[in-house]
Amino acid sequence: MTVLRIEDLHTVVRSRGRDLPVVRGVSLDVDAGEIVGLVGESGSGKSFTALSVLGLLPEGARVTSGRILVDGEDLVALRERDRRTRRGSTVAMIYQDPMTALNPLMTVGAQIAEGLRAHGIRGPEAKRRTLAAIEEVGLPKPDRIARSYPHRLSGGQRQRVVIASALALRPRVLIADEPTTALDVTIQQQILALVDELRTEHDLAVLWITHDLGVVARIAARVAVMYAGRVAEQAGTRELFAAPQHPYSAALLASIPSPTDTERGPLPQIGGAPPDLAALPAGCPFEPRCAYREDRCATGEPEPVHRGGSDTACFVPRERWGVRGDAMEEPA
Amino acid sequence: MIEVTDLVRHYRTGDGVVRAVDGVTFSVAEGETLGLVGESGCGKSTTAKLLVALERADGGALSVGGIDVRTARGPHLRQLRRTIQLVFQDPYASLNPRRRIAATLAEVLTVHRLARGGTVAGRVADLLDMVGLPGSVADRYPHQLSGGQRQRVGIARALAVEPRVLVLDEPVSALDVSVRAEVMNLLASLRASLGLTYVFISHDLGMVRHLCDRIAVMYLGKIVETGGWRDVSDEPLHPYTRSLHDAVPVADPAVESGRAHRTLRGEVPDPAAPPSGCRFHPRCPIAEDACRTDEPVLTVRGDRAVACHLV
Repeated sequence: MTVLRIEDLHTVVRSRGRDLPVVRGVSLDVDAGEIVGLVGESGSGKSFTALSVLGLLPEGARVTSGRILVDGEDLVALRERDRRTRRGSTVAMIYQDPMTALNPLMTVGAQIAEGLRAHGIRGPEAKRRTLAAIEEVGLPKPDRIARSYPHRLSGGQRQRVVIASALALRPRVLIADEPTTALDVTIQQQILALVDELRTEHDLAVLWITHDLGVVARIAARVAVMYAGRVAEQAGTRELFAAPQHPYSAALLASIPSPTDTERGPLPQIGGAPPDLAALPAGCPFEPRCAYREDRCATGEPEPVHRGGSDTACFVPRERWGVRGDAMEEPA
Repeated sequence: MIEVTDLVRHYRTGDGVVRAVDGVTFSVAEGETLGLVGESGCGKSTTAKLLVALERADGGALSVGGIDVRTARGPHLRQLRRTIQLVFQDPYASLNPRRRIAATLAEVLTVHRLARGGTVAGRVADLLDMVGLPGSVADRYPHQLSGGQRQRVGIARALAVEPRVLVLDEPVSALDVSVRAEVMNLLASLRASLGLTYVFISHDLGMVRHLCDRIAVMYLGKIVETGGWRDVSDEPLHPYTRSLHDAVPVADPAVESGRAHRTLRGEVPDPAAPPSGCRFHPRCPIAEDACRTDEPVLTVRGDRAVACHLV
């Protein structure tokens, strides 16, 4: 069942007197109990997509069109006050740096209770739910953790606290913005296992934003690859990694060293840089860097088509790509 | 090229003595690349600072290119700076934001009297070319460059003194995925063309496996395992290396779904109060009584070495 449905979302950021298109027609579904990976590099629009869903866009940024449906209700159409009540209770977010979400001057317990109080849960009920939330994320001695200030906790414990706080109101959707990037790998492993367990238990729809394709391969059932504000390709994780249909996804995957390489030659490079959003090319935004471009790629922007088990915004089917080796730029 | 014997660096803090590097021994041959792997607090970045004399060791022996790093002063220290250079994870933090790139590079050249007057601009252009940057970068400020370009400038600055060794501290961790490949390729080609020796510090086992000849794994100030790149990354012996190997996600769902994903319990203990016996024992899935009391030493097994009572 689809819980989160993003339909043709457009978001702009005001910069130097003009609107920069940072999200350009993103459509995405996340089902109950499903983790969808949202992958992209700096400036691809993945974080603006997430912040649009949360209604937490920074000053100067706004959604210009499209719908963001959670259980059928369009969040974009809501008044700010109603939007605020949905935050936490319907859609919650966890961040790369847990201190973004934590107040250093308040105990952990007080912060979780404050979130509950904003939604009308007070007194002993708030206390009980606070301790239950802390216990649920696998922290030992919940009452002691509740009385602790964030700086007394390790990075992994802080991230657990943020997860506890995010899930305390039983939201339907969890947006995870690189929550393990700053953690050590053995702690990342614990957090990945925890979120995976919680999404099964609560049938959570999780949108997991990351640049780490390894993390996506581990936890996401489906993946959307963003480039220049659009979804270049969206597919089942296995399908996308086995046979990427968009040249950008293919190039990204090829640039990562394989753990089974026995010869270690140069890594395939993409070359060039993503386009300036203030001066987007007329055609496909990846065309200037694409190894498989054809004439029409420079003139029209491709719409997603269903091909090879994925939705791909590319005119050139994989069968026409030729041999991978000669398509990649020769490394310097 | 590098000889490190029983190296020690302790910090005195309010919470006691932090044993950041606590008896580390390794060597790196000329032209070889050693990967130093480990998580926060393992001592890998402190080791990097000791190698380039940004910090001084409290014990042990350390020589680079025949120079005794611990005692180097005056002309010996200048000689050391020309032998070994450090490249940082975040070049943004290490570049002066108010200075054009040309001025940053020129400063290194003039301080070390490697160029002066009319020859400086030519040498700056050479350095930029060497790291694959266009000459126009010379007139830019750091904020006008992309992350990948800034890291190339960081590498150019390190190369300005024509060093024989680069210590690379997480040089690609802050970069976008597609840019990482470019910088990794640059490092490999510079190593080949200049005959450089590298110490490559990273938490990314995949990148370490791709670039290094040998790998040393650190935990709480000690080396727990060392050996050839394929041995350590593909067939790790030490339980900690095995846990790392399991924990690092691999960009292949077919591989991932078949893996055990054993979760290592707990977190890295406080280096001011390391556990008794083997420092890894509180988190170790196979620890026995002896591990709680007796500290294992790094023991040679064929062409690798492991510090564990049980493997």
